[in-house]
Amino acid sequence: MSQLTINNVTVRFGGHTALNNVSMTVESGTITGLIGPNGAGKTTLFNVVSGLQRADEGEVILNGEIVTNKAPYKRARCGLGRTFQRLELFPSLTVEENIRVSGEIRNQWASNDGNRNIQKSIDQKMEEIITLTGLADSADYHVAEIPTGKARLVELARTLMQDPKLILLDEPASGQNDLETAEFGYLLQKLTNEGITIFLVEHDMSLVMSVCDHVHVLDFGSIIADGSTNEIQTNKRVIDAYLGSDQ
Amino acid sequence: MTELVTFTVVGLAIGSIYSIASAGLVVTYTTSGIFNFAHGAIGMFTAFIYWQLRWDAGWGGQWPAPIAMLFVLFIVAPLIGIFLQLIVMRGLEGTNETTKLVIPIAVMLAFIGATNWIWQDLESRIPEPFFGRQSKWSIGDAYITTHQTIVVVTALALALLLKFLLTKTRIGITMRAVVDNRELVQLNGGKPDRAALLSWGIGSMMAAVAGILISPLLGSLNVLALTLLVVNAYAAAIFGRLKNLPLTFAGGLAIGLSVSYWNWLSGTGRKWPWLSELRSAIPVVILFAILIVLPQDRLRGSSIMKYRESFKVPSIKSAIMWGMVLITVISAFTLMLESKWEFSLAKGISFGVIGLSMVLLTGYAGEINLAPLAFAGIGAISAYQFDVGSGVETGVGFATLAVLLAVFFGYLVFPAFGLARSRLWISISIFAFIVLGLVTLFDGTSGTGIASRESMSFTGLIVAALIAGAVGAVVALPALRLRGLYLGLATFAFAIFVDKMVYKQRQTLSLDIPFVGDGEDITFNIFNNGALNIPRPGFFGIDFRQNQSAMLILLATTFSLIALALVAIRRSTYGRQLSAMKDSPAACATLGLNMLKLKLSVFTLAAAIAGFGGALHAANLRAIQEDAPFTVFEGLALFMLTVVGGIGYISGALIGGLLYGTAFLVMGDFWGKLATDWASFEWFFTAIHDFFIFLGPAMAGIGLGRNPNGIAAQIFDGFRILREEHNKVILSVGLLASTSYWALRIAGVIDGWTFLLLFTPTLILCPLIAEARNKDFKFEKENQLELIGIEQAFTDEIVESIERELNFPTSEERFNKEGNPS
Repeated sequence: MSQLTINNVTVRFGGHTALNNVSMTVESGTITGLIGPNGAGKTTLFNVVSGLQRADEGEVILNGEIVTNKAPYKRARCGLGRTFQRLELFPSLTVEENIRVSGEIRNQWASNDGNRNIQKSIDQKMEEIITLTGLADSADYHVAEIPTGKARLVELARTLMQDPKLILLDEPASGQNDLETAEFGYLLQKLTNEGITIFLVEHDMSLVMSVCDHVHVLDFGSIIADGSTNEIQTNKRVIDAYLGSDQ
Repeated sequence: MTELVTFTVVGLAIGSIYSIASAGLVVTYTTSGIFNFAHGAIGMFTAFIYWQLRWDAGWGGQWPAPIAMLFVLFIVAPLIGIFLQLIVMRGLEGTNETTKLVIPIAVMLAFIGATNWIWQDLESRIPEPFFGRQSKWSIGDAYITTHQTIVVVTALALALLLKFLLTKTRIGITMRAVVDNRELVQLNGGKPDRAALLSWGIGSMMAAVAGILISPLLGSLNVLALTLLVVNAYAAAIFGRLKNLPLTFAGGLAIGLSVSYWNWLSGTGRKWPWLSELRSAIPVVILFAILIVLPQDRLRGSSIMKYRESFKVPSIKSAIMWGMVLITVISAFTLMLESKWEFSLAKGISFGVIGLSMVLLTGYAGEINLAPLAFAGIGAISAYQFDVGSGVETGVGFATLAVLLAVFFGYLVFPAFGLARSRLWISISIFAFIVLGLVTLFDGTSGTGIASRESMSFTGLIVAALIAGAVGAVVALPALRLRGLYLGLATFAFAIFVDKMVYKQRQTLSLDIPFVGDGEDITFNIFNNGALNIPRPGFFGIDFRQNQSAMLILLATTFSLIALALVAIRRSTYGRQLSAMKDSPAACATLGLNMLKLKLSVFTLAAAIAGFGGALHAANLRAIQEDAPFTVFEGLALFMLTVVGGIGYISGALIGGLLYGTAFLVMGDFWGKLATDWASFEWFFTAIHDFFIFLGPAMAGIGLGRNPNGIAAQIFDGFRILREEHNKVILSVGLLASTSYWALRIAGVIDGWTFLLLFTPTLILCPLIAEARNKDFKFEKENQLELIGIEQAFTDEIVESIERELNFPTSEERFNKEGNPS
């Protein structure tokens, strides 16, 4: 079953077409990659899925529900989480508070929506997630004081507090060193084992090729290829897009 | 037909002036990204200078019109613009939204203060229109004055000139390019600084043209009225989205015509007395409406800023401690201060209470409200009407109203604190019952009505907060999508609206509460004679009417309690959500947070605090007028000084309030006293006195408004040093000294001024001495490690301290170890 379906999405900024009739699916329980050269429209697509950018045409289906006209916060309540390429943390708060507030927001809307199904206390859940992401040492720091690699983990931890079904990760490995990236890949696989679907935009090809089940390639706002990692690595159009074609 | 032509011509003329003024605003905004709040004040200031040169019978006056005009437009105005850009505005690039608002507001207040200072005496200054009042020509039966003709022609000519400048000249194209990408312009050999200078020069020239052209239409020159007239042009600039000049010109004309046609329709306000002042409020109503329908930027995170604000949050324990310190210090002061000084101090602290509403709204939640005193004014009026002013047919009417307000307030605010569903309604019911109980039992409000009480009741204060909160919600509701500058402008428009439509309201209002009484349950006269005599509080068995000390302690206690509540809020999940919303709306949305509800609740809560503080402030003053103390300009000044104090801190609100309500008056009084004591230096001391009174707040804003953390943080850092163990001696000596001054003052050995002269240096010296001592104690951090040995000798001491820092064995220990192996 597909967790996310994007049908014929087009986004224009003035005369520039950022996304041109893009369709794709993200299957449940997979790690799906989205790659493409700079400016291909990857972040725009993420913005369309999370509702921060309105699509001029097309529709977004989350878990079987059409969410094209829903506000971002309502999509989040459908089980969609995301991180940002340009970090969007809360610098007034500490690492711990950044993660805590997310859980608090979730519990608040969950109880408002009549969903009394809040099993764990926030403290318990937070402890689990902080251990999982390895942020225990940084918990009391303000987020402005920690390195970028760690900050990306805070964004991920913050999203995990929401119990998301699908997480969009926008370049999570940039700012991380090789060791951190390797650990991060391992963490992603652990998350999928827990039933979370991951949609990953990443420039670090070793990460993409090692963790992804399926990869979509975007160039100049259009999908030019999709398939398994092996298929993508040998695809002529993908190589052309990245290295430039001979013609 | 004749009327149509007449009103159209009047509308076109005034609209042309708005167009000119707003075009100037757009030119500066597009090239510098700064919305020049001072635009209106520059127009006003130059109009005064023009009047001085052209019309004054005394100094400088009686220049021929063309020469005076050329001088003001091509020398004075551009110099003002260039000076502003060079000295003040240039440093604002990369600062946060609040700073970008506060500095131009400070400049505006500086121009207003300077004009009031220079043209102090109350002579009436009447500028004549061009070619006199009789010079006119006719279309049919309608007359068009030469002045109106000149106005329209000037606007047309300026529009064409601007168009030519921006599209056909090299510098104009550079100006537009700077807007798109400053760095790129620089890389291509353009000079963005020069373009910015030119745009500020042109901008203030346009303001001057507008000011000079509009002043004869006003009759006698009036500082605030003239400033506000040019402010009307802001709506046109927003209509052009702050970048489109043709749309801006069209907007200006549309506003001018709307005002004129409304005058025609309403018989200059006579036809519907309720709306008689709407003619002067139409432009801001249009401004508010345009802001609301304007498409907004999509959600974005906070941009990278040069100066990042970082507010520390105190613990509940330290909030309680500091609250008690404040109450104790104020109580100690009441024993030695004369009633007059107690009164000014009380003024400062009650402004501080109103300032707390800004700490919550702007400091914690990042939402800008330029109308804090409009809500305070509404609170004051509400408390007055509840306790004194209104005629009530049955007490049930008021009780019902209060309960409705309580339910409304609870519905908006409580969910944000995590109350949901059944728990929400239970807590709203409890709250409503408490309010009902207060209204009916506690204050004995039942049966024949409550009017003509001689003191302000506690319930009156609660009602004031509830009404102000409700108004806050109603204003915020349409403006929820707005952020930053646009939200600031919307609230600014609201403040002007309250100035015109509430404070100048002279009609009697009757309210019919459904199902209660018959017909007119509550009747009141909002602001009947342009002044309201507000009663002092009298509750908890204390009479605050004659007892200024009790009033002062009451205010200090109120401040401490609300402050404590704010700290508790900031440390709760609600407070964390507010911080999150301030820091990154985009991230909040992706976490499932409905920010509209959160914003609405915080606006309501902040307005309620402002209303509560406003009622107390008015009670302390005993009377409020239509032009003081809750007008738009005073609100801007308080906002500015709270930012100066540190809008993210409780103490920032206190500092802001004390600066605004107390400090500058005390300083003025001090120099005024010197002026009377030393007659030979009178001119000098009077000048300093006037400087503090007229320009003090504005100068504080320009000088200190740039630090997003405010001076509260700096003061804390200064005093924090005293808490270190080895500085306890200094702290004790300082406390002992202060207590002795206080005791001497109480005993009547020294007078108030001597106390101040002893106390202030002690306060300043303690942290300074501590710092100086600290330098002897510690390895001096100023010396950069890598430069030791280059800029500074490598002494044994330094080697030792480095080893100590790095936890190496010292050379002595090493020697012992190596020399005497055990």
